[in-house]
Amino acid sequence: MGSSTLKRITKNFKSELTMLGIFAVFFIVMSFASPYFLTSRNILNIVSQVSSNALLSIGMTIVILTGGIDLSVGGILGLSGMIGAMVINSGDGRPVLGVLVMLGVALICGTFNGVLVGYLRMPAFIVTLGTTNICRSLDYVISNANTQSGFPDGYSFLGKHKVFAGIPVYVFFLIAMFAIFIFILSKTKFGRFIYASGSNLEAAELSGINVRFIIMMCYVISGLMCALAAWIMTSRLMACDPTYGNGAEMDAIAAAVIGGTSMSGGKGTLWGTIIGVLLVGSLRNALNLLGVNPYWQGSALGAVIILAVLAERISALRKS
Amino acid sequence: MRANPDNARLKEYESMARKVIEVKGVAKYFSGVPALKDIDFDLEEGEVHALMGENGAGKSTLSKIISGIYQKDEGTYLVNGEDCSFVNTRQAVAKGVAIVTQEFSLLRDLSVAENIFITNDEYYSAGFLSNMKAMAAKTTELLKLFHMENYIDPWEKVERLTVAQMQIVEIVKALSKNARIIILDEPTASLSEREINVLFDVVRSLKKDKISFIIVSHKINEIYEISDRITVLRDGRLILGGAITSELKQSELIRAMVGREVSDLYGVANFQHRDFSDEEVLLEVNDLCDTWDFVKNVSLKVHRGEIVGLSGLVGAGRSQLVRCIFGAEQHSSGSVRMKGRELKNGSIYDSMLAGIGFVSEDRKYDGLFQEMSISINANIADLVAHRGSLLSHRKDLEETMRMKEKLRIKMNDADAAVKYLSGGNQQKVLLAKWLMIHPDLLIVDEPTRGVDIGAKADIYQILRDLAAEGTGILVVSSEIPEIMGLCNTTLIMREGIVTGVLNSRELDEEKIGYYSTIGMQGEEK
Repeated sequence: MGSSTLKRITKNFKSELTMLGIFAVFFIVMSFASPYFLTSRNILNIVSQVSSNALLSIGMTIVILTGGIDLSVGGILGLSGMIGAMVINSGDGRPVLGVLVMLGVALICGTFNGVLVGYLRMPAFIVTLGTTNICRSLDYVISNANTQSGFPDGYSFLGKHKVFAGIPVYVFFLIAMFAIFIFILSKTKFGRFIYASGSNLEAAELSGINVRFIIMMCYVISGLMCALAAWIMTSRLMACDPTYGNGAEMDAIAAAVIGGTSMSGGKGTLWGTIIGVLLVGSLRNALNLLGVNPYWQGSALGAVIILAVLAERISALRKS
Repeated sequence: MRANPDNARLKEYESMARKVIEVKGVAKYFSGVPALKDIDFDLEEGEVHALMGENGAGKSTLSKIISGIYQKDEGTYLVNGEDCSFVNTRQAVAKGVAIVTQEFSLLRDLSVAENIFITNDEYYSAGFLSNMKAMAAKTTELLKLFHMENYIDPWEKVERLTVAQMQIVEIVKALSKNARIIILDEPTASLSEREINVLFDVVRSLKKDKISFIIVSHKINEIYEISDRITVLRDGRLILGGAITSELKQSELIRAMVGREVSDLYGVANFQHRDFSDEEVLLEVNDLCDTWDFVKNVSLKVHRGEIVGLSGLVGAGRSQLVRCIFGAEQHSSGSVRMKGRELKNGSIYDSMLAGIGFVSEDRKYDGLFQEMSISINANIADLVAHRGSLLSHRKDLEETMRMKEKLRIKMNDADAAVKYLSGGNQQKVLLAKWLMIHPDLLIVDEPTRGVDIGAKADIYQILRDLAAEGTGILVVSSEIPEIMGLCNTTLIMREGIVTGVLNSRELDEEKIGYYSTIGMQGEEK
């Protein structure tokens, strides 16, 4: 029983395990290269740097599983965060209302994407490209390009409050979100329908799956993840700047792809995405620690993305 | 004056039509399986030679060998008396042989003239297509050959043309490269009556200029209208070689096309005739029309335990009809009732809840999730229709194993991707997917396409067993022996309408051939 389960895991999570191996090697090398790297302080530093990307990557992975893409996550993060922040600052004691507004704005944006891609069958790339531009522009219009700050102290609970061994609340929140969506993707009907729709849309439709609804829901989830990311970000920094989330979609796509999610849909897991998120974050962190010119970060990240896809390609070619 | 014997021989030679193509003993194998064997074929100058046969008879394979798309494995192939083995279509075109396939090779964004001359060096300067005016003028000149200069504008973009016009542009393109032999592969498949006449006028006027045509088709009445001779292939063999059209009876032609030894693989010999009219009506379709006009006023009934067949040629609207019944396509009028309840228009889910299963025609395209596991594929329909929102890997496995036993699926690991199975076993997984919902009615579109003979026999047995247990079955099949070995009632369709309804006692190959090509029940005699 135990060995067969192990076998199944190694077979089903092959690309994830490969990435985990690479990540482990990277971690070990780094801990020798820099004495500071493996300190709890630095690890927490990495986690805080990846916190919003982690949430965006959950949504991104789910959307990519359907064979789509969501380029609007950065824009939705910025817009929902800004409107929420302005609500919080509009009067006393409104942090809860602010967070609800963030979720509401993101829900509208996500539904907009979802209806256009799922029901009207418009190309996801174009739709979400449009949405991100609209959101970013509205973000500037509404805020008049001003930073919001001076939130009530209680608002820092998620981002700054430490509950256990100096670990902030949002870390547990991230773990919970991953747990929930890993469960949804692997143990529920809805999750299976997501994989099925991405694997073969026509077959999914002929199996009686409401693929339009499933696809729409994935964009809605991705939108809501943006609001949660905005919440963590504003709570951690106790401010909201209109540039928040600029270019965030690229890191989210990178994390999903490095984690083994196939851009053509139907293949990938959130376990892989976790590794992808950590690898992207710790790579950036490591380059900083090693004193590498920050302009090199893009080259390193780009190389890792291409190598991850290349590794996938080679293993697929070897099979056939 | 002394008669010149050479001249006399020349005259005699000229009086005999010159053979521009001669094919002798040609064979073609696909991974060891013969698609063509011992084929002789010839084409005379200025004639229209029809190449006929059922789907899969080998007529397309032969036309592709002649035009250089495929290469022959055995035999000889002469063009104008010269031995030719074309490696590609370019070489064939250089020898004056061109093919116009159903998939056009035209570039939709370019004009007619640009399309015709895009590969012609004369109209380039420094690598750019330049001489637009000259191209347009030359196009008009070519169109004038068969009085089409007012029908097609050389400056028009190809995407604005009708299918018939595109076909003519393809012919002009071939002529611009000095083609003398033109192969038309199913040219009338998507043409209207009027467009067919235009196309045939083009063919007739080019015949006068000694251009020769091979027309690949299965439409009998058109072939009688246009062709001089007919060659019929069946199962890759030559059945009728170059018969003169005006001397060939239609009934002989139909028999040549469809008749074959029916082996017991299909169970024809042991067929049990039975009347189902007293059984409960499961499916009742009334006056069904689809939104595309592929299905016109079709009515049919399937009783409990009855196997109903839909026969006819490809494109007769059979697949569209069953897709409408299942809700994969919307219908524009009429109704579909399952056990008395009218089904929601265009709702697959509603059809599934009513107890209909649907094994589609193309398992790769819309049947199976190739990258996903056997177990996920087999359980997906039941998951949609009947199970709760949480997955159970154990339940999935148990059900898959039950189906593995029942359908004799050869597999080692239910968690392996379904794409690694053979065609026959994939087809069984697709059947398993729908049997899991315990359907009262199973629709099967081409149940044995691309499966080996062993799996074929298994699938027939599975369908018979299901019917014996009381499931109604609606089978679409292009294989006539399959229909004859399985079906209690057979509907024959042509161009979206039902042209004949036959019970198993009345059914024979010639009737199917007749109704699917020209006949109409109640109109004969």
